[in-house]
Amino acid sequence: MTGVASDNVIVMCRVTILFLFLGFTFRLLAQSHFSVSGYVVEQSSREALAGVSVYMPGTTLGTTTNAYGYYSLTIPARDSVSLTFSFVGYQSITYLIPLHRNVLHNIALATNSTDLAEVVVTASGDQKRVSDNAQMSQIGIPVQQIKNLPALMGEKDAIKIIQLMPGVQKGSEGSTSLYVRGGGPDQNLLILDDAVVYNGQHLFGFFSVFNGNALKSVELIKGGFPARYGGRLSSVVEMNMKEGDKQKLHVEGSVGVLSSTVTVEGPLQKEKASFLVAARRTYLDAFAQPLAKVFKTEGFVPDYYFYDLNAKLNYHFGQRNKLYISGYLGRDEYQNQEPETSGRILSAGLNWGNAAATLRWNHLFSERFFTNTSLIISDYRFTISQEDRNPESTTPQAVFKLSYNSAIRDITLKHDADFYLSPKHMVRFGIKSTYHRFTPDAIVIRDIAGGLAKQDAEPIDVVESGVYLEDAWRPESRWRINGGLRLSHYLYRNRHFLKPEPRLSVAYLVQPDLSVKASYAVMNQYIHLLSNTGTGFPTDLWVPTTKQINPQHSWQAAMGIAKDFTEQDLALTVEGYYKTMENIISYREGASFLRLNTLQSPDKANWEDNVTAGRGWSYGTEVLLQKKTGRLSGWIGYTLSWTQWQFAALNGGRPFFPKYDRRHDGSVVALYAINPRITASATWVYGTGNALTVPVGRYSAYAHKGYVSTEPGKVTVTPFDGGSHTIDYTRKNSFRGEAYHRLDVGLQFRKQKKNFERTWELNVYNAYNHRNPFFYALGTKTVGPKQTPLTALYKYSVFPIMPSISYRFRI
Amino acid sequence: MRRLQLLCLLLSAITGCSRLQQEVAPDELVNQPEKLIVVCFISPQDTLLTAKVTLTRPILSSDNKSTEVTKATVKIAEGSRSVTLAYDAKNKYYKANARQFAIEAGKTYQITVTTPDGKKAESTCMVPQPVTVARVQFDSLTTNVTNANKRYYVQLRWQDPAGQKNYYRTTGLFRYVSRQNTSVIALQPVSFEGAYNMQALVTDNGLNGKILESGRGYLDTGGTLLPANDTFSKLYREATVTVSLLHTDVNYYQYHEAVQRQDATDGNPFAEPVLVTTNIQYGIGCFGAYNRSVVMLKLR
Repeated sequence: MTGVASDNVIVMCRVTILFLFLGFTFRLLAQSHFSVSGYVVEQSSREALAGVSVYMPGTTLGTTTNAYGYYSLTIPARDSVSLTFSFVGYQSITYLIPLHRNVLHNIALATNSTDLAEVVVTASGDQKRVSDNAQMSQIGIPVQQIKNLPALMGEKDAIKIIQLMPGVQKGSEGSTSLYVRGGGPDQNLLILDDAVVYNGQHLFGFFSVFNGNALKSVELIKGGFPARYGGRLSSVVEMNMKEGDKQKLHVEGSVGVLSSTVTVEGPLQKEKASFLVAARRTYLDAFAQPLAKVFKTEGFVPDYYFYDLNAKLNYHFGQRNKLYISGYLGRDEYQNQEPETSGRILSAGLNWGNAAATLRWNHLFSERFFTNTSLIISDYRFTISQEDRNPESTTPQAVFKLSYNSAIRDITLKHDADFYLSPKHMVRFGIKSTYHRFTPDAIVIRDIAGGLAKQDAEPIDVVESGVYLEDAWRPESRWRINGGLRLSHYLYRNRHFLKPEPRLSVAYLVQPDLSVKASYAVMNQYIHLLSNTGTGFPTDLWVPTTKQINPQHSWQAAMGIAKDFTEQDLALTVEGYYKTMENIISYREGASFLRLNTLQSPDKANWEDNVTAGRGWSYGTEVLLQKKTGRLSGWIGYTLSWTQWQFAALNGGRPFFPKYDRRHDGSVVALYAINPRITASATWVYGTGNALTVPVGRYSAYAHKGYVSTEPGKVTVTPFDGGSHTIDYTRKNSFRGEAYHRLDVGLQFRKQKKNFERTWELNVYNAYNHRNPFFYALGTKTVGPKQTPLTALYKYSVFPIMPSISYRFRI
Repeated sequence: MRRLQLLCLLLSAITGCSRLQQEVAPDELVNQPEKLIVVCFISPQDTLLTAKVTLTRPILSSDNKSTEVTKATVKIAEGSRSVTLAYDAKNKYYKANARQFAIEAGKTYQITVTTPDGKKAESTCMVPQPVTVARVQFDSLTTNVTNANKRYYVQLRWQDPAGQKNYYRTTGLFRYVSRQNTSVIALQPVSFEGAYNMQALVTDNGLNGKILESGRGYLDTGGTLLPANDTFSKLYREATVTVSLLHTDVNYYQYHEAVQRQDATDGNPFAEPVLVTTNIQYGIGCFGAYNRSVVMLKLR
């Protein structure tokens, strides 16, 4: 480590010590107060409940439980205190608690007894009223809701529900990419139990890796980021896995058209230890091969499957210490073989996957000082391989063989502290450091005919760190403030960055149920995604900041109002934002992840040479009207936004609309409980068409021949070559594809059997069979038997109407 | 091509998307007028001024070659001087003898093209100063795949003028008489590394004012691999190479670079479309300039 870099580490350590010191000082000042603290769990499973409101009725004093279900409320000394615990979908409880000293008060909340509780919808992980929270641009997705809304092939997907929220655009049809407030799919921090997930996609982006059965909570933040989050510009998607029932063993499963899942959870030691294992696998491959044999299908037979496995184990050593171990393993495997007419066999393979393991330790230093320490190891890799073999050849070697690998391995150490300083201040601080090892593109290639052999794999090691201090402050009854500072640090060889990231979110309650909010956040991103498919292929390449590539930087300001209509149980948020993004990177025009064109050279061609940096800006307005509870629940979302990019090397340096700039984007989501056993659901989405570059003409581009021939007494001049077939395009992305719209409907039939509950579910994706464009491409069009074929532009769609049926059970 | 094959296989496997294709004809595509294409490169060393004038075809036509324009008026001017280029039907370009109109470094030239049906395109460019070749290295390397093979190459070095952005292209012609066939004088363009269609383009990006080096320019003899144990003189009875360093303007560089990049994407629907840079007003194409330095080497 260089001298300058180690200095920075020292600075960061000092800042941490300062935070600790400040914390303890404040603690001494607060002796005239007592605290009530404890864990809130779900009554039957003893699963920790995050986001439960804990408040003194009739006052503004209150807090919410953290991700581990812990709360602490510091109250001026008095005889007793009345505290209410409330959480949507659970029965509220009010306790009268004597307060002569610090009180420990663990509680369990029971679900609402009616079956309708199952269909309760809420759009905030923090169950307080939207008007009462300093945080804006935050949306929580209850896992139950993910299970109740219709889905493509019945595969329940948290990411696809997030795509239905205003401010979030999806990529192309069916894709699980997220484009949040004009940001790219790499600008989202996807966290599963503290572990960063890189390419959270299965089946070429059509499904996300997050298994709904194993998830406890999903939360999206798209602006006004609290200082505890950093490393990405545009959003945070934090997911937590269930801990596993501490009372009873459960088996839950589903059988769908694409995959089956099974989840087993239960106690290992009652009240102390529990486990959860969730597995999912597709069976396309199991059917494809035998069917191909039966029907004697000529040509290639794709062999594809994906699986994922989630496991979690936790042990409670008592009130003060808890240990969690969680792991994730997911892989996609694709193989295909195609016999060619020459007798050779062309085989191709593509596989990729994430593996992550997290060890977390919760420790309570005191009732008001909660800490968590995490050790996280994650690994992402993908391999693409191709082989051209001649089985009749005498030489056993392949004629052509290529294997292309890309990988990232992270080791992270993270420490976070929640300090419940006083009734008015809740302070968080922490430190995080990640050691990344990137292998952006390692190619092993052998081409017997071309006499070519190539092998290169140079890993890049970098260290990314951050330290933060955050204060949730209520200066008086009408103000809610969350302010903080994050210092991010990055080290690559002798290049390093230390960047401050101020964060501020403020809410002012104009009326008890109406608040005006504003936020400001500076973000830096040191790792980038190079994508030239835009479809979420695993071939998208994660690359670090290096000598040539600078960190991405953005600031975002947002303003809005939040209004609760308590009687109708409606919540309305209207937000406007402006965001700038610097040093965003893109492939140069025509560049691609596989640089086979340059492989003729025995020298290493660098991926950095294929990259160009630019800037972007985005602004827009988002409206979200939600109905959280009742027989009819759901939301209406609408976004009006503009996003523009400007790259020196793209579009001649002029600004242009990126592909996923979407002027209008809307969604209507509804769930209706027909009776306690039958639930109907529907979602309708609309989005302006993608900004595309389309061909408008064709011509021969004549190039200069360049060389001179100096035959004695004769100079041959052939100034131009034969002219390469060239396409004349519109200006970059100046053509708008067709608007995207789609209706999905679902019906669920639940029944309590003797020993288990079962649910039959019918889903229809794209119910009115709208041919949404996936991409446009030129093709040939046959006009008559003896006429020259013409060129035509074709629109390609992926999913027509897709009905599906699935079955779920829970024992 | 292999890459494209793979992507298509992957995609069709998942979706069977051929069944979900629909012909569309948006106005933006169908109602595009033909554009005038002008391609002209000028240099102080050339003995002939040449320009190619053609028209684009509608995208939905069956022909992918430009339409030749034979009756245009093509004029190159500098200050009050000008020359009109006449159409040469045999070579299909407009030409004028350079003795009629000298091209000089540092001067700005204007091209104007008008067609009888009223289309007009124009552009200007400035001729760069010469940059001389400092050194040409002749060497060989052995590749080791199945058998050891030897490849001979030349590599150019030159001093980049500081304080300005510079663009270059290296070219060469290998002229040889082999020992096996002594009756034929063979000519083969030098194939520069990283080059596409012999268009080895170089910039001083990040190396302004430094010594620049070209990629290796291989002296290939039509695809046959040379055994590693033979010496050069055992293979060739006589051999010369004429290498040029073209100090080009930005227009020349960007046009050639974009054209070759677009060609390399090969219709891959997933690659970002390559927009060919143009400096032609009211049309497309390139009016570019270069200054050539030539070195001839006898090889043995």
